[in-house]
Amino acid sequence: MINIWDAEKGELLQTINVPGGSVKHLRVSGDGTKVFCLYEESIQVWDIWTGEAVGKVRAQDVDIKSGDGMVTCGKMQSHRIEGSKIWVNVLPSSWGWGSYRGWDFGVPGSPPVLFSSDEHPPNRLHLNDNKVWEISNSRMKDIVTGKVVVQLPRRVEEAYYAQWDGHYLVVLFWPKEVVILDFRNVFLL
Amino acid sequence: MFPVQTGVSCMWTNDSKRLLLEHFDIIHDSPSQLYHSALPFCPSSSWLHECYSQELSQEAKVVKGLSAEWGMCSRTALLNDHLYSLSYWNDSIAVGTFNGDILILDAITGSQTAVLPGHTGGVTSVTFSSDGTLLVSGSRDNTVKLWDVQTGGVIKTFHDHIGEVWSVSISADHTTIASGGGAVCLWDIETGECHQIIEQQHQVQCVRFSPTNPQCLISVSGETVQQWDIDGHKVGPTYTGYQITFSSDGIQFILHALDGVTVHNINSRTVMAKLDTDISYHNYGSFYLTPCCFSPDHKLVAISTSDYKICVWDITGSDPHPVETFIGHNSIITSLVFSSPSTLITASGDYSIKFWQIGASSTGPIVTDPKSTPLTLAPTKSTTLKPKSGLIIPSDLPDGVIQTWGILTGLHKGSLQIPAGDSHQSNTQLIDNKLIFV
Repeated sequence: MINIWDAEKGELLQTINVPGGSVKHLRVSGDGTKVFCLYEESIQVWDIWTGEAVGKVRAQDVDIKSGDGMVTCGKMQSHRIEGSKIWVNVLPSSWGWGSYRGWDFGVPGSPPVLFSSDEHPPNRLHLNDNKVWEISNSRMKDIVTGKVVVQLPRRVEEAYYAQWDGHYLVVLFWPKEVVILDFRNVFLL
Repeated sequence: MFPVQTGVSCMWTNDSKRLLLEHFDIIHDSPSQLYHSALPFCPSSSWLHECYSQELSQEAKVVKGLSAEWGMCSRTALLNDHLYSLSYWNDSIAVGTFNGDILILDAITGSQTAVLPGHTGGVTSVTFSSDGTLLVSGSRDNTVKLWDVQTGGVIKTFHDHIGEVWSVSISADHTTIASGGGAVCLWDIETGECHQIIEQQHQVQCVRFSPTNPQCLISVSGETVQQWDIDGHKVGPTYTGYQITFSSDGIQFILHALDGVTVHNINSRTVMAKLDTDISYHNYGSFYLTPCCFSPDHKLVAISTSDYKICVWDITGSDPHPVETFIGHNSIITSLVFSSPSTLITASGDYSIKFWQIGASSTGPIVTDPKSTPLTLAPTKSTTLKPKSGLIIPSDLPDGVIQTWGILTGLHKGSLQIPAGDSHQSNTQLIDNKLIFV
């Protein structure tokens, strides 16, 4: 199950019953309304406040090109999440190379929409309407001005996830390093 | 390049050098980034951090992830191509690239100062002449080129090499170039003619002239290491190995074999040091890629490994021992060279050149909370940010307890007891004042 807590009071606010199995990734959508749960065999998304299921994609329903034919997906690995979209590395049930699929769980009144197939996820994450995180460059840029807001020192591995709320920037580097920047005193952003 | 000095002015100088080199690209592109992206990341123990942390109140503050000390890698230059080879002389670095260009870089900043186009295949080997006026390059386009370093022009192209060229070397008297590929070829620089072809059973992955004796050449073909004179006659014993490198005085050479690394005296033909390594090597098609080099004072030996590390050994005493391990590349290391007794330069398949400081302190995240373990994250799990109250939630947790840390102070704030039966959570995340976990 997924529990939602008030972190300051320590109160349990919401419980979402989710299927058993090993959850590989848990993420919240950029607008804070959905919970992404990635299992090896499916992606499932819930409304964080009502606990209702928003959508589900099963690995067995995903076809992957393998050699001259198509096979079903045997395993899903999260690659990138941005807003209501998720890019997943889908691996064939038989031997073969994986590929990428992207689904959008944020289309109102619609089941998950496949919007990307066999394309590598973009190298940037949209942090909000005017800021992007450039993954391989480890830097945050302002979309409007095109200027670098901050450039992090280079690490061995690239940052695979970043989150920005207008005050703080959290960046996760593989395998387990986190950098947090406080921008509250920065006048112009 | 960065001697350890004491005193305020020396600390300021050392810190400033490290700061400018580490953030060279972003400061070069936008000088104001000195304040936005460079100074805020000065290591917590640095003098610059102590001096400027208060002055930077209007800049972003690093509340987690600040290094305690300057790292071993002082500079990373990204070059947009797979890098095959590099050579150093005085204030320049020549880099052979996969697309056939040779890049000339400033040896201090790593910034590109010139491009030498001309090869139509990857430049697998580059080497400066001993006086730095000439540059020799070998390519997978089956040619060897001799360049005028001053003008950047091609002096001569040596055609009809037997197979792709994988290694080149120039004799100490600048009269002969040796190239290795399908065979060992000896080229007369004056006439441009190949005056000697030494047939080999396997591909020749390495040729090296002695830096002091123009009559002494060593080649590596398959596992066979053989010394030759300038007329192509075998000299001395045959060794087993995959790579050899001479010391700058021409007296010693490193022999790199699968079962270890040995340092030999070429005159006495004795083993001067045996480095007790346990290293696996990258299989580079038909041969093993095992770059290694001496420091200019011959006291250190640097060896790259297949797991993208570089080990530096002190070979001065009777008990050679490793003194540094550099970790930072994320692809094979294709070439390495010392530019000073304390600076090592490496080229990698990750498209980068790195400058490493021998004797620099290792980096590490600051432990901001003395009462608890530092915040760490598992790669497949989640951590996120609470927008306003300043709490962050780690995902590596003891069973049954969720810990919270202050985002500003890094101090431990409290614990949440998870209800019985829910203690095997694998993910946590905080959003809009709410904590969720599975």
